[in-house]
Amino acid sequence: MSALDQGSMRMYSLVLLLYPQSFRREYGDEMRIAFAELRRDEPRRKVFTRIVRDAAVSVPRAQAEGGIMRSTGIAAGIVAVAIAIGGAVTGSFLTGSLIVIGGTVLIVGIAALLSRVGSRSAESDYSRSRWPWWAILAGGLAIFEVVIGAGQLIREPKKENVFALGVVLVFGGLFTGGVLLRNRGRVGGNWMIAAVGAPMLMAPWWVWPPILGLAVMLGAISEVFRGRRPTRTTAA
Amino acid sequence: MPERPDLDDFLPLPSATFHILLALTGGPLHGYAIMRRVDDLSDGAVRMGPGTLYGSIKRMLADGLIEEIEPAPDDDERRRIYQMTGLGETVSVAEVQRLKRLLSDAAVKRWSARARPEFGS
Repeated sequence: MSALDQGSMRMYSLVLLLYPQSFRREYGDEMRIAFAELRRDEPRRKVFTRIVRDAAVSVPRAQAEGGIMRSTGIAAGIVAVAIAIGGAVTGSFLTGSLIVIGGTVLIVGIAALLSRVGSRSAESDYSRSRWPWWAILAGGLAIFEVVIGAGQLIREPKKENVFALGVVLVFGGLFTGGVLLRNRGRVGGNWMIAAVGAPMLMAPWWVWPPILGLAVMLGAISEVFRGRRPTRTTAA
Repeated sequence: MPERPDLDDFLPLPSATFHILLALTGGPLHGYAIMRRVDDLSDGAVRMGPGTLYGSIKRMLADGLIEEIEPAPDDDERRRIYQMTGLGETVSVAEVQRLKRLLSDAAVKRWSARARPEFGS
């Protein structure tokens, strides 16, 4: 085995640590064999994307079925520690806790969504994604805005912040409406989503939100110009 | 006599489960061979990784859709070999029927949607 192969196997062994111990004990050796054979048969870039996508889907699921997330006590402990760290770091338990709770809820929500991916039925693998990367990104941005808006209002309960939160909620509503329309095959939904991303570009000092907003706009608009009709929801 | 499981409890099959059953239609295979077979059968649309594969295998063994068999004497003894059970075969056939119905319904809906303007004009 070359040094490169040994290095990639060590990296994969680290990925395996994310799975519950019982799962590793049962299937860890076979997963290492499968990984070594993948490395032998496929280009490194393809193996990397396969493993990252696989871990993103299968780790939350394995943890939900037999790992730490199954234990309510440990999950509650994680949230409590997150709140304590947030409070200690920011020096304000209210603001810090809100940020950390928001972040924790977001991460757990994403993990729950990803873990559901593994239980989709076969037809979903042969149809276009109902949730392309840019729609997931837009959803994350919308949640981020609402958490920031709500935090600002709690910190400084004044009229301007009520207005700001109201604006954010309207944009959230427009985004949701856009996604619903897009998933029913209406191109107008793409334009609504793109319109929701536009105000983000007006706050360049935030750096990341404008970049992500631009990516969402490009994703939504490029789908229209590629001539792909958004996925239509099919009743079984 | 053990109670026969209700097919409706299994359907629709998760995509990974369905593809593993399809891969095992040709006979018993070890894990990596299942992954490769799924790649081929789906023309690359389903690119399963080891975590998804063994997570699904664990659940399928528990549900009785597949079983582990003794490897042949010349096989690598570190590998485990899996084969489809009778229940697995019944469930995969039922899933294929369900997908066929789905396609047929979709085709009829598409046809009627196209035909509608002609009737209206």
